[in-house]
Amino acid sequence: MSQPLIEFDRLSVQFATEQGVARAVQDVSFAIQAGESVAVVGESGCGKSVTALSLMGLLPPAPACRLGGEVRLDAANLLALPPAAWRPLRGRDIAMVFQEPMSALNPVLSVGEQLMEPLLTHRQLSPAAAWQQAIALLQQVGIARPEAIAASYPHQLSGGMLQRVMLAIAISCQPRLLIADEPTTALDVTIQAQILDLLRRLQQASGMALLLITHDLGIVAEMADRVVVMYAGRVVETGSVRDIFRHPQHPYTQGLLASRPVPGRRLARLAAIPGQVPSPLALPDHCAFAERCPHARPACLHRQPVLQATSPTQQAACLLLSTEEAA
Amino acid sequence: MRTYVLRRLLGAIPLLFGASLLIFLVFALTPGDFIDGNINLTPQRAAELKALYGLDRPLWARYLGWLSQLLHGDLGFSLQHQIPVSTLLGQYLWSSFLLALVSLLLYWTLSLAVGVLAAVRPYSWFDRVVTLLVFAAMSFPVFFLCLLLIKWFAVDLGWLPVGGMISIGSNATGWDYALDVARHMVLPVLTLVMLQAGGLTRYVRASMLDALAMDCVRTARAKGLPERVVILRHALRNALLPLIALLGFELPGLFAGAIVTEKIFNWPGVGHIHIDTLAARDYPVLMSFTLLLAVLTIVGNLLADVLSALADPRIRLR
Repeated sequence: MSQPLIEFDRLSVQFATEQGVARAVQDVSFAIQAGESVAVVGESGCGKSVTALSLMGLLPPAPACRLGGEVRLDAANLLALPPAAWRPLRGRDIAMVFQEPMSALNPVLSVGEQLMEPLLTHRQLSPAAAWQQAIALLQQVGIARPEAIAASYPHQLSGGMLQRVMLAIAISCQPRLLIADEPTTALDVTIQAQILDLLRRLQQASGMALLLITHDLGIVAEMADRVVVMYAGRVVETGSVRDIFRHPQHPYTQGLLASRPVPGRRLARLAAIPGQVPSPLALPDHCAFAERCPHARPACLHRQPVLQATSPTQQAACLLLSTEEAA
Repeated sequence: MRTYVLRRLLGAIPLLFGASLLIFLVFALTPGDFIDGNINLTPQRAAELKALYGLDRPLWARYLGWLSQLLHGDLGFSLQHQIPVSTLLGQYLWSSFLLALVSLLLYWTLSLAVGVLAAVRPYSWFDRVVTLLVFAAMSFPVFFLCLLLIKWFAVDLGWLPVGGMISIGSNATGWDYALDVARHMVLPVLTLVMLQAGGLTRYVRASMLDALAMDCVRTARAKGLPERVVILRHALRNALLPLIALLGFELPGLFAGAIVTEKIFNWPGVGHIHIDTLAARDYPVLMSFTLLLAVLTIVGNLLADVLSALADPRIRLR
């Protein structure tokens, strides 16, 4: 396999809080190839967003937040870079779209000004050229009357429009990776489909890689090539979309898939995974899913499983898999 | 915008009538007046004087009389100084304004710079030192601070004059005059800055911390903008919005005079005559002066609203 674009190598993120150390992300390793779409799925608080923010260098500085492992872009460890060397990569090589378009844009600056900023910073365009480019970008993300929209302020636009603007900002410098952190969660269902469609078209047009963070498995099936399932700060399963949806190996992934509503099948209740995600302040030394796992065995309460290949394209971290193999 | 300003100005008229009534009643219903304060007068002479100044008339007649005077642009006549109130205030108002304006410019600049720096690195040693100094400055009693500064800089070191606005017997004109006044201003300005900068710095710091936590600041960082741009263009612009209202309230303060500071430094300002006229119960002066401050408060608020609308596109004036 060729040199991956992005590589997470045993990434750990710890936050110092008043209640103690919160282990938000532990030993996360996965790679993103150029042009590939990778979806990170998991419940709220499982470390999805923190993983993405670590790639952008947007986590709080040292005493409040400690990072371990490596995050590599083109084989260069980003975490070892001084802030001044990391900054020019943001927005130019790696861009990010956030969950809440309403608050992600600055209320006191016009849409056009905010769209011009990365162009002026990274591509050193003249203000006039940047303005022209901003209009073209707005057109590219499907905004009619781009001149009028560029002159307006965020509060005058709808959530869907603002997310289009955010996408325009993100693709303005032709990044090689776009991180989309729950890009449609805050939007209406009809708008969601439009934004996802736009995201896919933009990706196809530019050939950029996509790191999609979501808890919506429908979006994953539609958008991703590969899936990374996270639970309690760890990767529990990773594989191609087909692998994950057809034969999920980890009980957590199986639970996630079982809790999806399936059209046509009428159930009195949707299946749910019992129990709650453990607090990142008090993670157990054994498998974090053991207490909620329907197949848990005594060994699950003593050991921490590691990722192991279950097929050439799929890996899962579950003790049940290894004991089955051993038997 | 023009109709908005016009409407607000028209809306201020009933407000001013209300303020004038309130001010009149506060002073008119306070027991005793300028004449009662003079124990050397015979009861007969006192009654004569009260009749002369119209103090024996019923309340409503006195209020209407004062109001019609005001509407004719006449602020009244000072009983103590025996000159028109407008002349009296004119003599003292501008020296107070000079002192207040210079301090205002200094402590706003200082508070903005220090507050922003402290917010950018919260809980750093700089922030902790600032917090300590701020509370120290805020907890000093004014009179003590004034006297301490006089002892150090005017008496012990002899660098600066003890008080007043110009050197005694000085006939300086032009630049020499300006320099002389500036030398006399240093200590009172220093006092006022120390007293005011503390609270404002805390306010700027809090506002800036809120702004730095906004999602749009994270977006600005995600765009790879230099940290200076993120802080000054994205965070500070949002942090300034709540401060504009505060700036509006400073307008009456520019003319109100600093009573204790002016008294101790013997600065010929309006705070100085404020306390003197209060002691003498020279109510015409106090009433007009208070009403002037009410007018300035209303105008200051209006200015703040207009400025807010200019700075924040979300506010539309209708």
